[in-house]
Amino acid sequence: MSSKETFKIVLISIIFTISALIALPEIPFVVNSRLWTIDSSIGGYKLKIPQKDGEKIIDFSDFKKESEIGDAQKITYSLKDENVQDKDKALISLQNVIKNRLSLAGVVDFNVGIEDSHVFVVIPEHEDFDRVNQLVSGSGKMIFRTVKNADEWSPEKFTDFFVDVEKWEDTDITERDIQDLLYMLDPTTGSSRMVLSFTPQGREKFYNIAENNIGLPVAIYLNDLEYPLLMPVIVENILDDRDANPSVNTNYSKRYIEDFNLQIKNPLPFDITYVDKVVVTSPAGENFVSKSLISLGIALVMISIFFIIKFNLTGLIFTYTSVCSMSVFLALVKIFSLPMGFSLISGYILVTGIISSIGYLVFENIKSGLKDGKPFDILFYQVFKKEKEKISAPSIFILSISLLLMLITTGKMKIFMSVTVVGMLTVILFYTLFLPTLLFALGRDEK
Amino acid sequence: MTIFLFFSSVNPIFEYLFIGVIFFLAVKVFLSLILNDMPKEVSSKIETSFLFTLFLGIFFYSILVYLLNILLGISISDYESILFPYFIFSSLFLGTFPVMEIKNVLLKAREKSILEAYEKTSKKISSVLVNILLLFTFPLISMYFFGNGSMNNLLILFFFSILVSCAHWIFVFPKILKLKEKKNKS
Repeated sequence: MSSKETFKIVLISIIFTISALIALPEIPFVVNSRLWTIDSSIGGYKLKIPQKDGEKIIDFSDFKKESEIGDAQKITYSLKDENVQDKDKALISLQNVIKNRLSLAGVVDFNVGIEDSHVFVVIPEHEDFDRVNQLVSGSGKMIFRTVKNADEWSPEKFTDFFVDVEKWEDTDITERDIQDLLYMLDPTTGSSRMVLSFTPQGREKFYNIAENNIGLPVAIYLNDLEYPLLMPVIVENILDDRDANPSVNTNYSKRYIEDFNLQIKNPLPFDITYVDKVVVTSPAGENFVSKSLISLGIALVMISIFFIIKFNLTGLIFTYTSVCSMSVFLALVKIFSLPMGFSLISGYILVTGIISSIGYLVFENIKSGLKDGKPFDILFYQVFKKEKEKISAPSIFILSISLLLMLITTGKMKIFMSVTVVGMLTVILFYTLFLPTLLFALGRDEK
Repeated sequence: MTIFLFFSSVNPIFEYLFIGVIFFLAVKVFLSLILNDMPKEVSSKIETSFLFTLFLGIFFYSILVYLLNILLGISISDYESILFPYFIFSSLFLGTFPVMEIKNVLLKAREKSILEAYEKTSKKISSVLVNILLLFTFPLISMYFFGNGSMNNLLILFFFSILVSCAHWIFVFPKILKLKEKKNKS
């Protein structure tokens, strides 16, 4: 075996080991004998990555579960004004806005529905309730207010002004004058800033107000809350460039600002109030994950038997390569935090089918070539180099189209497309590395 | 994503049309790429027959899903976002094999007729497609019997999906090629 082949085999072993350790759940490993006492475990690791603002933990202990297979949170909202005309129409329009907000906020697994004149949102247990509730229930209305009595203001009275809405008067700047709320890091100080990107008319209105309020605060109220979102004090040099969008120091994270932005760009057509949150048990049953993984393992055994019947012991090479591929697939699923559910299992079934079909095409071509008396090396070259397009074209195509659809779709289709992308990457690894290397190393002497 | 959300908020049917158009354009590009070393006349015949077979497959599968809903009460409302992409992906994967085989025969033997090229390799195509059908079915069988049962309706729909696409590439594709050849000769 050449050093290149040896290197490839070592590489496969490393990839397989790492992916298996990522994919495996925590398996306790306890030995308690006279000679040895071991109390450890394999798999289910939590990687701690030190970062500038603390520690980031990458949790490989378990698969995230979709709302249909794990416990879910069902949050109910009612219309603030119960006497609204054409209630059904109002609820449908609310449902659409909530769907848009959640999709654009990157919440992949959710369900929005109408039940007993209420709107409900179902999200998986792992999803952050506070964030989703804030995102859904905020009206998206924004108003800028100036101080009623300028003589009352002094920086020491900041808290008084912050808590007392009576000290403010409305301006004509609303969410309609805002194009975007943007998050940026100040390059000189490194602090977080929120940029208020105005429409041209909004910017003009803002600078007119700023001109008359130098040294005074301006309060920005969002979602009809009783406290302002921001209360910056206008400094004189803000008027130096009236074409620039103003920005303000903030403690809000990037995600918060992006969520505020989504709210003002997708305002609720009717105000709603939070009613309650209940935990809904999985409709698919608690043993879904374990039983699915066992049955997919059985499927691999069935496919292996098929290969052994068709191609004798050479068929076992396929078993090795498919086990490697599937462990890479599951590891990638965990790395990319794809939720386990019907979409993931469907993607797994598709990938298993494609991998075994490619394996079959390769083995069949080599088998029939050997029968015709052609040497293995020539057949190997023909299958993996000359006619590679036959096996690579469909998987590259499926990868490209699912990548595109993953970026533009939402909900379950987005999950399915993400799983397909991960699956096709595995398929490409299968026919470019795993299968050719192991077939060349182990299959040359088999006839 | 905003475009997609816009289409789906106008009417859910636009969501499917939008995805359908993307699929159609992508398949066109895919076919023109894999058939770029063939004469234009031949590649356009194969392309048309391929797309027509795919559309017939989708049409027939939709009817089948509708019948399964009426006869066995299998509802697709929860699964439609998975079901049709699964059908299209598996169908494309299966359909690429006969196209590549025809292309190989045409390039090697310098055959002029696509139909003759297909007939030369039809036995191999049928046998490979049947085996691939079997390989796609194994995970469905094991999930059906050893899974917890909550996905069984979806598994039945997947089975029919793979069955319909396999049958289309074995039986319908050559018929369409034949029709296309006849039409061109006349």
